[in-house]
Amino acid sequence: MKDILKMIRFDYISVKSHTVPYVIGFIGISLVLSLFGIPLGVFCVAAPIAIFGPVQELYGSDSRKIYGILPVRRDAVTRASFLELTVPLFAGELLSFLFLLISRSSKLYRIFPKSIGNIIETLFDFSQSGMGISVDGLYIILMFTSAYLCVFAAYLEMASKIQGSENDIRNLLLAISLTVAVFAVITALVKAGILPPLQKWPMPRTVAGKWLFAVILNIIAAGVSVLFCEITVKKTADFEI
Amino acid sequence: MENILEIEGLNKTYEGFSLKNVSFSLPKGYIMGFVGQNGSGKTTTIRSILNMAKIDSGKISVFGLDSVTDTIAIKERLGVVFDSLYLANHLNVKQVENQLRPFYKDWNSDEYFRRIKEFDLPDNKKIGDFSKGMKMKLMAAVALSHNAELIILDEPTSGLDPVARDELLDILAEYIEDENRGVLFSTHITADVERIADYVTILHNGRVWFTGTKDDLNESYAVIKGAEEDIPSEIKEKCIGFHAYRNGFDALIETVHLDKVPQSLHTEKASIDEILVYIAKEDKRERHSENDTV
Repeated sequence: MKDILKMIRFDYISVKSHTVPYVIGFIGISLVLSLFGIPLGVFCVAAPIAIFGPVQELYGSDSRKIYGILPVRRDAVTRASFLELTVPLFAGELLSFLFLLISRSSKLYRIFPKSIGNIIETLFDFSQSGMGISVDGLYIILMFTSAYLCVFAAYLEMASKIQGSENDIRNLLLAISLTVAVFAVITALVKAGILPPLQKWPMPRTVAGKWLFAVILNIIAAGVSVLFCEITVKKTADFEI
Repeated sequence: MENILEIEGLNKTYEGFSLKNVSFSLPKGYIMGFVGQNGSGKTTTIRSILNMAKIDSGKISVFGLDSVTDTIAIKERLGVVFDSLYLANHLNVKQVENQLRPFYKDWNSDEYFRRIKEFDLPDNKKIGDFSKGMKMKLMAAVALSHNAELIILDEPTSGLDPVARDELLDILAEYIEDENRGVLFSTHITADVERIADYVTILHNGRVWFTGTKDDLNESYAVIKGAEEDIPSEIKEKCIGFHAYRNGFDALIETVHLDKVPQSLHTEKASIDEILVYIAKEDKRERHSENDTV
């Protein structure tokens, strides 16, 4: 674990000045907007993943060489790269939940002139389904988005490490195509009446039940990520640097 | 003499290239120049030492430890200088220190900053904007700051101007004053080897062509020149890289055969550069004489 933390710290120092101020800025703006009832913070679900996003690019063509020089186990390097994806994603999910909660409860928009306050209230009053999506629906979308992004990012990381980063674009397109195909099939099934509409999907009714559902979904996503990570560790153990 | 690095029977095959039974050792307290043409296998050997390349067979020991099973313990005590930086280019030397410090138990921050000052490296400049010589010095500072007992350098002086080369060689010469340390540096600039190496290993086509002290190498080979008709056929057969031309020939020969060389032929000491050139010529079996064909 020590080696993994060392590698995360190493990468963090590399990316810090490139990404962290922007991510913090986005989170700060999201917080302020939440206080005024504007739930822009739901997009924080994907923002923290940007922190370690450009790490390989910053090391350039020598990115793998350093792992041959530093006294660190190769499996620790691989595990660190997966943690750099998944932990920010889960943190992003928590932040987006938090900002959604704040934007629902805070009424600071009332300090604006009435006309502006009314626009905000009309646009973002989820209790009235102002945007056509209920608050429950938004929570569910966030949960699924976060879980999906976790699996998606872990798959891309695994593919990149095993097949080489030169295949990243191909793998990204493949993953996006698969996603679009799954959505298309679900939409078609809903339209055909085989599946119920999203709003009518069986979901827990109680607050505790909803949180439990979110936790289970995240555990499944984390489990898939761990599986991809361990496959990568095993497959790349004998790779040359 | 205790060896700091030992390679025995190293074999490694890639498509179109292989290291064949590479064996050599470096005793503590000495600098070894690791020379050979481009593509002779120097970098593959270094990558094998660092466990970056998976060896097919053979054994590599560093500090008496196995290079595969004890790779982390070895790298704790090893300094590596490659021909390019392996860090993010936008960092400065302070950030590099902050980044690398946790990886080494014996890291000494004061020593690092003392070296940075000594090497005249700027504090706030991005390391990506450093000249090649400055980058080499930065990596040397890193190696010296965690008290590395062996420094491995892969082509450190190629592309450096003469002043930067001289400075880097001075750093190595100072480093080796501690007799418990060692340096292995690969290069095809043989003048650097002539200047500071105690031992030389010549790699040619993936095989060790010579390994031993620089003095042994200097005493073991000579260049002979003269008229081609003056060279006895049994001596000609022993020549390495025999090169005939209109007015005579030149070749490399082992000094053990010099007593059979006629007085009419001129002999002189062979430099490492000349040895490398004759090895390459022997490989090509060059003959430039108009009437002499292979």
